[in-house]
Amino acid sequence: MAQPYTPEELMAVVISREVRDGETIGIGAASPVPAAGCILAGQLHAPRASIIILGSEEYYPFPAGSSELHFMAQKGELDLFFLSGIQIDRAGNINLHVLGTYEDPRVRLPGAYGSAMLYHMARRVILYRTEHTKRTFVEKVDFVTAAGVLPESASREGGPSLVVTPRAMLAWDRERREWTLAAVHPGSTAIDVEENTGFPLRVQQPVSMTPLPTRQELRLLRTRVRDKLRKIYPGFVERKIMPA
Amino acid sequence: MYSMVQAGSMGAPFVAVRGLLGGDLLKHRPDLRVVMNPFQERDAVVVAPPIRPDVAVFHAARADRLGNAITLGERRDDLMLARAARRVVVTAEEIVEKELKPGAAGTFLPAIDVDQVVCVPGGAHPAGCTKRYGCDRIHLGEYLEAAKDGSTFKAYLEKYVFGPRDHRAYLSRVGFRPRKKRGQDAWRNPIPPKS
Repeated sequence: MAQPYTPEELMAVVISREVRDGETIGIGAASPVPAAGCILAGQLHAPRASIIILGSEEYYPFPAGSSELHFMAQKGELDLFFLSGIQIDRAGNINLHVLGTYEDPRVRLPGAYGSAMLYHMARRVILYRTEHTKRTFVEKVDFVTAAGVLPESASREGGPSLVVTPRAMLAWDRERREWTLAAVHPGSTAIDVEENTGFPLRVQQPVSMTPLPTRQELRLLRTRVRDKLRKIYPGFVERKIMPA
Repeated sequence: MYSMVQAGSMGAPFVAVRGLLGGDLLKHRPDLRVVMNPFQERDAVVVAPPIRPDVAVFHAARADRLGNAITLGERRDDLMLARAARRVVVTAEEIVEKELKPGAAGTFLPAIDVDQVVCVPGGAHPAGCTKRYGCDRIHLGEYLEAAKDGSTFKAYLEKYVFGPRDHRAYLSRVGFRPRKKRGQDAWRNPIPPKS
């Protein structure tokens, strides 16, 4: 059944609900979905969140460049950051480097760009991926760009808190060191999610369902958020956020 | 990377960075090493040597004959990179006679950090130059297509890099039209510049 919203709109709404008021939030380059989610949260329940978006004029408070966001994160002053991974694995590792072997890769990806630091220095990291398939959610990543679990000698834990996809939201359980199915989005089922995940998920019954995007969420997303986002990601807005 | 360039700009012998622990990059990068923090218990950290590029090249909107230059956009990271590099070359859209001073708009590269200035109008191509011309998307598309394969990439290099006898010939090959008025420079596929 066709949904009255795009998968990206749904993911932005799901992400917006996870943003807490007053947080200092960093969003890297080429991250339109989290940017949409955070701007939406700023219009709703998190008006005092500080949203820092690389590549934006309105949402970039520093004069110099991307090093300032990077070093702010290294000081441990970011409450929330967003990362993606071409692969995400059972142990919470993400891969942004290569598919295949490092020496002779099938595909060479852009690389870490600070994510191996950010994954551990931001207080919470929400992962997102616009496809939920077995090629993304794998037993073991081809290359560990940033580790889900750090060696004992590291003073900081860090790592993932959630992963948001078009099908579901998974939560990282730090005690058990495994992914649990936190909520299934409308239009999907727990079986559907499990069949498209390349490792076993912990599923607690009854399975939580993600509440449908409300009319207010979609209206704001397609008006105020759309206008602000257009200045940063014009192509994304044209293709993925419906006009009001 | 930022930390390594910053260490280079500061003359620091090495830099300690957070994160990276547990990742595969440490297996493939002998320049990234793990040590115990001498000032804190139970705190493994990665250390890395400074980066000092032999040459850094910046494209500026304007430069003067002393070497002062203004690159557009607020990117003072440029200054960090200039100070890390052993030699700094500035290419500029125009060379002005009047001495440039640090001003409000853009990023100021002072002459003391600059070794050479070259007048290269259209020098940001195929990227854009703020307020002057936008990026040449048709050319970027051609590049992306050519870069998929060794032989097509070689043909690309021949056509655009080795083929043209000088910069003027390059500009004519990519279809650059010099501006009549500021902000009206255009490629064959004009995209309005960022203001």
